Formats: sequence, structure tokens, C-alpha cells
Amino acid sequence: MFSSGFIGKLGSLLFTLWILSLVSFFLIRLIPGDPVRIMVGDRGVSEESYQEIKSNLGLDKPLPVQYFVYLKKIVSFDMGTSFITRVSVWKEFKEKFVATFELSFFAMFIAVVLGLLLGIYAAVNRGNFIDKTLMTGSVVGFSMPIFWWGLILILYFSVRWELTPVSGRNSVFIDIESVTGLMLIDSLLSSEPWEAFKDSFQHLILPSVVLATVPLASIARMTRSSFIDVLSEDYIRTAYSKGLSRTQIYFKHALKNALLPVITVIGLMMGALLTGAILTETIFSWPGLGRWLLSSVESRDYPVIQAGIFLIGSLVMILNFVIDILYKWVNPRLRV
Amino acid sequence: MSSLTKDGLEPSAASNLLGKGSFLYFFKPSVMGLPTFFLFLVFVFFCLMALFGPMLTFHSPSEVFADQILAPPVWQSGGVSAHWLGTDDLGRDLLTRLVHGSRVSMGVGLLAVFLSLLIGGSLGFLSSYVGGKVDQAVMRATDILMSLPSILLAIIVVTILGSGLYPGIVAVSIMSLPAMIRVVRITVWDEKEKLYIMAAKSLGSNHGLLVKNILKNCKGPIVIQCMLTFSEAILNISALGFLGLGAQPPQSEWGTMLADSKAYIETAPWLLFYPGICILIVVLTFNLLGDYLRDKLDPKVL
Repeated sequence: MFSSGFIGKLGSLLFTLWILSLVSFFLIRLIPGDPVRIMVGDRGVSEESYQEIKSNLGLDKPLPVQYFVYLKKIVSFDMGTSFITRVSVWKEFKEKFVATFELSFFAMFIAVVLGLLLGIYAAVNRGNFIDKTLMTGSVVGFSMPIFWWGLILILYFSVRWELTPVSGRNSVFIDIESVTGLMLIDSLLSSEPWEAFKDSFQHLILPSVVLATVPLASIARMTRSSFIDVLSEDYIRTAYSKGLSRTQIYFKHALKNALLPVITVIGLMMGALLTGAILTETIFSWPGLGRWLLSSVESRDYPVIQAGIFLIGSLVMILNFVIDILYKWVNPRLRV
Repeated sequence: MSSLTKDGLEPSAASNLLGKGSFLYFFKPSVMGLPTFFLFLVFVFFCLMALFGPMLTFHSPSEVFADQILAPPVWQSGGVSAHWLGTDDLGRDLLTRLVHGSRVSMGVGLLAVFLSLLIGGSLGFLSSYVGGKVDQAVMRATDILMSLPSILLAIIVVTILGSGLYPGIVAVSIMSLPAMIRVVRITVWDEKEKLYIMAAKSLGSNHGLLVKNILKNCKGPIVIQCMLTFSEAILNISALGFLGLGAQPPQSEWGTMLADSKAYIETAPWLLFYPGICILIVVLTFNLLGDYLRDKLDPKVL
């Protein structure tokens, strides 16, 4: 596994992480004007606390020294504290990450399962009405402004039909102790497992559907075209002539080989998924990374913006790296 | 194609423009077929709306009708004939704001395409035409840009420049760069390896002529990429507006209008419905027309 390709990929990962650290380092220094004055904003500041903030941020030292100190802090996960909540940024990040993870994981689950099924269904109906409807649907899904889609779903499911709650991760009257941070699991560990699980599931389902929309559309499209390619292969004809059933051929022979391009698409989706998560979290007041970063932009909470961009960016980069490696490992043809 | 026209020898401009070698050929109603022609009409409608709409509206987008706050569309009970699609929470006419918003959205889309073509296109072209170290450097930069989620890029831009429509345009254009660089690079790469370019090179053609010929034959994929850039830019700028990072409230921009409508989801659902449907229709039309062009230009891709 530790081939030269792996070393090269690791090298380029480290390089991009380094660039990201530079970007996040220069971020507050590129803001026109005195960063400290801008950070405290209209709140105003006395001369002593001005100096204190300045030295806390390390802005009183020469630039290379500042950067070195910054790197050292990153490595030891000391990213400073939020101006607003006074909580360490790393601690907040971990909490919010779990919420975003739960949402994204569930959304990806919906997108992958439904996307594969619909894509296969369209492929085997190639050219007829079902196929055309599904593919038009996928372009609509692909073009969907999900922030609007989410609001429309809230309007019908939450406001008109009162099937799901409007926002948040669970209802206030249900007491759930945070063990893993994943609401679905924590609710099962609470005193009223069934009630609590149902409640948190109801909270989760609508945001997940919204977040799943765009990935679902592209997975379905990709599955369709790769499935059509595979179906014209010789071994599929052989399988037919052996008298195997359609189900067996589709799900045992074809799916395995049709899956590879689909996995590539899923891997490429991580960044888009995060962008979607930020929008979805805003609509549903889901207390995740997106909401966190965005409210820090609104309140000009610079330590959080700076660290947030570095942490979220590295998270996506590391995920992409892992997927890339896994992909090589899943697909023996690429392991040369 | 050349035929005897009024001038005698020159083929008429119209037959040349709609001739088989030209792009506009694919937009001839007889070539398009009915569904695509319909899409094309929708596209023309939105273009006209953005160009001339703001001059034709009865009201100004910031005009407040204090006695008609949250009036529903005209066909619902309580609707006022002066406000076809109703009014918002401040008593501003929704249709007027939508029409003015179309100019913002389409304008941003056009600007993003222009910037992306100018910067991304020339980088992609240089990268492929010069090759070697330049190519490596550009591709590495593109990889880095791609590995950063687009929303983070937007937040970085907005943190530095402050939120507003113009920082939003910068952010949206940067988001569209990597794809444009890649598409231009790979198409130019394919083209410059072709025999006729090699032949021209070995015959001592100058760079100007080579560049001209390469570009002439690369326009297909680049036009398609421009259409994608356009629809993505519209989607992204409205997303930024929705998040409060793009256009700021008094401006009538579709995403910003949606963000304002959130509070009235129960009482005034029309405020929420129409801006979103406008975004969806414009983006969808462009994506479908892009698909259509791709099918026509490159029948191999499914």
C-alpha cells in the first residue's frame, strides 16, 4: 500500500494543508485596517485590553515569528478562544463536528441508496418514459437551490401538515444526555429510548432529505450512465445465457463494476456536501459546523473564523485523501 | 453554403450565422425540436426581463406601500390588482423586486462568466500551450483551489472584503475558476496535439496563427463550460445572499429576498415561493440547454 503514489499523495496533502495554514494565517492580517480595532468592532476597547488582545493574537511580533507561533499552536490544537462564548475553539469544533457528521452521514446514506436504485432503474428502462422522467428529475435536483427547497419542505411538512418539527436536533421536553454527541444513538441510551429516538429522527429526516437532494441527483445520473456501459459488456451476456435472473445479473454482476465511477463521484462530493450542510444548517437551525462558522462571520468572531476555516478545510482535505487511498484499494485495476 | 445574393458573391450574413459550422445553427427552431425550443424561449424571456424589465415596472423596487403590507397575489382573496404577486413585509411590490432581481442575478452570472473566461481561460490556455513548469504550477494551484470547499472560499473573501454584492461576485468567480481552467486546458491540449497543428508548426506558422486556429476549434466545450459557470454563479450568488454574505437587504436580489421571507413562512408563503422558483427556472434552463449543446457537439458522451 505504501507505494510511491501514496507518498506523493501524502506529500501533496501536506503541501495543501500548509497553504491552508498560510491562508488562515494571513486572513485576519489582510483585512484592511487595524485587525484588533476591527475585531472589537463597535464594542470599543481600552488601551490596556487593546494591547492585551494584540499580544494574545501575537500581532505585536514580526510576521515570520507570528507565523511560527501560529503553526506551533495549530500542531498542539490550541486555536485560541472565541470572543463571544469564551470557549476554546477546538472544543467547540469537536462538538459541532458531531452534529454535522450525523446530518451529512444520514444524508449521504439516503443519497447513495436512493441514487443507486433510481440510477439502475433508469438504466434498465433506458430510453423510455421512466428513464426520461427520472433523468429530467435529476437535472431538476441538480439545479435546485436547496435553501429554497428546504423552506418549501418546511412550509408543507412542518407548517401545513405538522409532520416534522421546524428546527433543531431534538425537542426541549425530552432530556437526552450527550454521550456520543450523535442524537440518534444518545436518544436510544436515554430513559425513554423509543420516544426520544422517534423525536430525534423526526428532527433529522427533513434536513437530511434537503442535503441529500443534489448528491442524489448526481449519483443517480452517474449510476445510470455507468450501468448502461456495464450492461453492454460480454460477461453480462454470458450471465444472461447461463439463465441467471435479472435481479442476480443487475445486483451481483453489473452493480459491482458499475460502482467504481459512482464512488469517484461520491468522493468528489465532500466539499459540495459541506457547502450544502452550511445552507441546510442555516435553514433548520441545526447546531453544526456551518451554523457555527457563519454566526462567527456575522459576529466578526475572528479567532473562530480563522481556526474554523483551517479546521474545516483540513477536514475536507483529509477526507478526500482517505477516499482517494480507499478508492485505489477498492479498485485493483488502479493498483499498479 | 455560398450562394448568389444581393451583393453577388458574398454569402448572406444570415445564412452564414445559421450555417452548420456556427453555434447559432443549433439554436435554429427546426434543429432544436419543440422541448428545447421552449427552453430557449424561457431563456430569452429571462434575458429580456433582465434587460428591459426594470424599465417597464410600474413601481420602484424600494417603493413602500404602507397600507398594503403583506398583500397576497392578485388571484388570492385579499389580493390587490396593483400588486400582481403581492407585497412583502414592508409593503414593497414583489413582482417589481423579482424583475429587478433578475438583472442582479443575470448580471452576476455574466460577470462571473467573463471573469472566469478571462482569468481561468487564459490560465488554462497558457498552462496547456506552454506546458512544462507553467502547467505544473497552474495545475497545483487549481488542485488547491478545488480541495477547498467553495463556501469556505466565499467566507474567506467576505471576511477580507466585507459582505456585499461585489465581494460576492469575486467569491463566485473564484469558485468557478478551477473547472474553467481544467476544461480549457484539456480541450486545448487535445487540439494542439492534432496533426494539422503539428503540420502548421513544422511549416513555421507564427504563434498568433496557431493560437487562433486552436481556439477556433476548442470553442464547443468552452461554451458549454461557460453555460455551466453561468448557472452555477446564479445559484451561488443567491446562496450567498441567503446566508447574508452576498447582496445586502435593501437590494432586491433573489437569495436575499428568500432570506427575508423566512420569518413569513406561515403568513406570506408567496414571498418564499416566487424568488426560489425564479432561481430554479433560470438555473434549470441553463443546465438543460448546456446538456442539449453537449449532446449536439459531442454525441459520444451519454
